[in-house]
Amino acid sequence: MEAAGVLTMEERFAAETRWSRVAPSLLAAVALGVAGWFKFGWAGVLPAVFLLLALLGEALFATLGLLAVLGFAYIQPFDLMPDEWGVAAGTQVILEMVELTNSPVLLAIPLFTLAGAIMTHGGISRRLVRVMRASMGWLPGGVAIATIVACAFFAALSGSSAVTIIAVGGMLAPNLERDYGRPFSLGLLTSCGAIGILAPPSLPLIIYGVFAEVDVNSLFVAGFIPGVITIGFLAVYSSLRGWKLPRQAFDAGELWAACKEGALALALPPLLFGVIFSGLVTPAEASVLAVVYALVVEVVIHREVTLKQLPQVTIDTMMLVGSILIILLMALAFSAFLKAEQVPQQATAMIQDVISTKIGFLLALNVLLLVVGCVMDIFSAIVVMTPLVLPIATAFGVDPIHLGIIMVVNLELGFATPPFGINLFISSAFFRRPVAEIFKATLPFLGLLLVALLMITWWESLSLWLVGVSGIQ
Amino acid sequence: MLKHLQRLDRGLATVEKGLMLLMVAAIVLLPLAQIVLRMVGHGGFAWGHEVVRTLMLWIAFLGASIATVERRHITIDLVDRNLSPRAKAGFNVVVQLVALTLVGYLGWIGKLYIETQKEFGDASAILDIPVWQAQIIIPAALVLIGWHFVVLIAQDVHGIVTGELEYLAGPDTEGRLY
Repeated sequence: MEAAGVLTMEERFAAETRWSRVAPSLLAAVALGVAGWFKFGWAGVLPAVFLLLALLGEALFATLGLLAVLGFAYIQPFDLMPDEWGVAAGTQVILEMVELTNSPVLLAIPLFTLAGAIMTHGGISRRLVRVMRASMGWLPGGVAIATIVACAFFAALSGSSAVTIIAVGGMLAPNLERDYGRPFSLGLLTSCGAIGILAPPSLPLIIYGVFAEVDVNSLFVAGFIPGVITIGFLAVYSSLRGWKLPRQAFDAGELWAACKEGALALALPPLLFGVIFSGLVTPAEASVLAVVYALVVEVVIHREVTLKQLPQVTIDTMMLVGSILIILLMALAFSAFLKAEQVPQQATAMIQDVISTKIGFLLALNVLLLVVGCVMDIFSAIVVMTPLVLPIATAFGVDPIHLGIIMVVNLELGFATPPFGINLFISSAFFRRPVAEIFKATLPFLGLLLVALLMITWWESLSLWLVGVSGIQ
Repeated sequence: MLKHLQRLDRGLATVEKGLMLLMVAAIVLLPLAQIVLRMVGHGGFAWGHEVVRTLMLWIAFLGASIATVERRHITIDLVDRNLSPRAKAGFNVVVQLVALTLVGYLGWIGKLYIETQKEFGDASAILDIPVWQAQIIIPAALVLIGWHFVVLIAQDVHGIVTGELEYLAGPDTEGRLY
């Protein structure tokens, strides 16, 4: 989805189809289906259907919708009503769609996304970089730290780590490369998009909230300390790496000028966080205010988004929102089927046979989510994984809010994980370097983020303490 | 033939986009008016919330429909890098036929659902309209999405036959975010 604008025809596709690479995965999916059929009957074929269609490039909403319909059609024979045309199976899916209108959180999704899109459409990346450099450039490793914080802000606004690499990375890469060398520059910029995704108005947490039926405001508050920790890890490392580099003198005049130019744009995530933390508004109301703020700042004050551009920005945003929400609908229907079949309970029992401790479970979850994040984009991954993982996690005593933070951080990390993580390919295409070089450059940063992830996973009060203090639950 | 089909499709998409833009404007302005009215002591309007919620549903479905036209639905493109554009178009035809079947089926079920609602359903609690009028977007959008898939399939088949496959690289997204 996000790669479309960056990759050329030659980068997206091969000149000749390499069947030797394509066929094994397709055959593996078929084999999985046969194995599932022998073990569990027709219901056991569903995972293979998912895999095969996804590999062929099926729209995710259609894959999930098909699974939901097939699933409901499969359990229908046990119902009392005769159902000649399979109407009942589809009706379940339609009922889920109708149900969706009653979710108050849902109202926040389109407008938060729109606010972010308006902000990032203007010259915010330039302003952001200037403020960060003026305020942090004098520190040891200043340019790198400025990069990290700018990336965090941008990722929060755009909700997308891939867009962050392109918008912020493009501006800072020359500087970073000159001071720190190419491997550091590539590695930092590729892994940087993964931070900041926990802050409002970033979408992934909202979507988790819809699925886990958890208060979104609590999620944003819970994400604050973990977010600061991930930023801190990278910042300290960069600072050590840049200790011996010549430092830029602190210039109060430049900082003032930079802030005058960029403070309004920078203020949105902290303002939103404050408004949410105060508990005065619902997420839906906060999202309306965010759009109004973004419009005033970008259209009226900065004049970087013209009224003429607004329709296209809005249409692009709503296309994204629509394509996420229709996946959400189908996934809700599919998870309703899973619940009806008691799949989560059975999976929980099976996993509890193998793993007995909470820590053991969380560790296994970390590995699983890393792999999932590596092959799926974050929205789809949350939508597919939450209904499966949440009941099991609850059985192990994991707090749903804590789980949400783990999932989002973990999946974001998956995006930068070789061999399939999408950010590696975005970076490779955008900076015009071989993918293997990006792999190698990203490894140290990935290691650091992994340590941060383990901390967040094991130490649940990092996520839950602030929620308790704020008392918004 | 394909040209005419695509022109028709683009016209339809333009109407969808226009409708959607109006609705987005409404879901920003209505709650804003509510907040302002609350501040000046007026109670606001009770129906505001429900209107916004209904519009949200319409925007989401129209967005999904437009995403179909522009090939922006979220997919997992793991094997793309090993496919020739022609093979990709071939895969597209297969998966789009599956998607078409699904939305067609769901659209039909949605129509049955609306008919039942029309006969037995409730009127909205606050707004003075029957609930089915708000929900009619569900079958309508599913049919629209299905129609858009038909056009995409036609384009892919045409591409496989003639080798004109440049559209697979995606639209020119210069300066656009998503």
